[in-house]
Amino acid sequence: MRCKKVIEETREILRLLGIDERRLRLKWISASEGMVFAEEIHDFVQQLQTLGLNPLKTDADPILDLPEKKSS
Amino acid sequence: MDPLKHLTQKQIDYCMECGLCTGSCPVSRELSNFSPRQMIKQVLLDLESDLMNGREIWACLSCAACSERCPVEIDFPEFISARRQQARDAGNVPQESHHGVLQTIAGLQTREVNQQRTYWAREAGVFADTGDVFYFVGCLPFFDVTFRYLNLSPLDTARSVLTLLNKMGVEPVISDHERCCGHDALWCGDHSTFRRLAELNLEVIRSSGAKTVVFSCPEGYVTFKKYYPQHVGELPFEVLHMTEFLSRELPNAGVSFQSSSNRTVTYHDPCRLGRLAGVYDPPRQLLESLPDTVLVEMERNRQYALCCGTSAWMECSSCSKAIQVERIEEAGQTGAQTLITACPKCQIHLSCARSAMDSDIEIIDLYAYLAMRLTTE
Repeated sequence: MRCKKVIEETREILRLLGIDERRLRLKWISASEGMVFAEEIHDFVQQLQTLGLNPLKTDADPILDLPEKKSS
Repeated sequence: MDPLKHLTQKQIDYCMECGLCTGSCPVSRELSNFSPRQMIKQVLLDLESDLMNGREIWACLSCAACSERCPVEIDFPEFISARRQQARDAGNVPQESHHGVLQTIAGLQTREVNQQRTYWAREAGVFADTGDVFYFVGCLPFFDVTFRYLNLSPLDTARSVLTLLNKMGVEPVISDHERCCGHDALWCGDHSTFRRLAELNLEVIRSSGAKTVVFSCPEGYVTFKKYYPQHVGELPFEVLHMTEFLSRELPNAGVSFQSSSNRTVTYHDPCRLGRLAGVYDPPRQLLESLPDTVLVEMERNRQYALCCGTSAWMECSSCSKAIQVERIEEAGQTGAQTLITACPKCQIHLSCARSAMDSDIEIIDLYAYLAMRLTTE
């Protein structure tokens, strides 16, 4: 329930900043529900592709850039 | 050399190592290894790298209790601020509170955001897009979400301010495009974020055509008044704290207040409004103008007031808590039922500490208190 509250609050902050709330999603999926998880992620990725790149992203982005994958 | 740093360098050459700073410092009383005097000495002895690599540089509250008493008037907060940027550039960064969410929000506001932050004002009163008076709301909409867990609603401050202004016949500009004032970025040593926020805010205010900008937040006020001119040049408008504006305008505005049951109040001076900006009387005048209200002072008040224990959303520690508990106990000793704060952060910090204390003193924001006491027709 704490998670639900934190996500709701994060959504409110996104709204204040004018960031599309559909970029944040919360679903309860059990470890046994592999298919549900896959479908959800597939759906989420499709939605993000429709929404396009984050308009706040900049080239030099210390906050939003993911760390580069280390080549093994 | 950074001109600010040059200035403080000249100041510290006068240090006579009397130790009044360390003796006055609320942090030194809790953390025995923290000493403003030692920090100045480190720089004088060319041991600046010790200061740059240590944690002490972030532990300072920049509350200016030391500078207030320094016989040679060393501006210690300025001394620290000038070195924090360097420390940050060298990879020595502060421990951000609340998982850094408030620093992240300020960082995002340097971008082309399309904020929706005035929803509360549409419900609370009348405001405009352009006009003579700009009400700089500051971070309250974001605090309202972040500090809900303390059962606080920091937006009550903004709602109360708008109610009071409307009652006085003022319809201020409130803007969706306003950014964080950059106070925290500045004190966290992040000067590039600070400058960008300052430039964006100046643009927003300029396009509103405002001649006066009023602030309910002491941090926003002192940042505009003292630090914007230093970093981005003279401002083309007047900067007023809401308590200055209200104590000047309220007596002639035909607004009346009613009596209340919680009549004995004590007032906590925020460091930014008091020691950093020198505003001590206007909030007291406002409280004393209320019918049947008795303002009792805490033992340490005005320039000797104790800080609320944390600044710039960083380095919250057992030291912060100890200072906050001390302050609430001091407020309790006055016999007042209500502790009035004039800074959203003081209210948040003191409320947080009180939630774990056996104290029944109420902590109320000054504007919420005034609005509560407005005569209802």
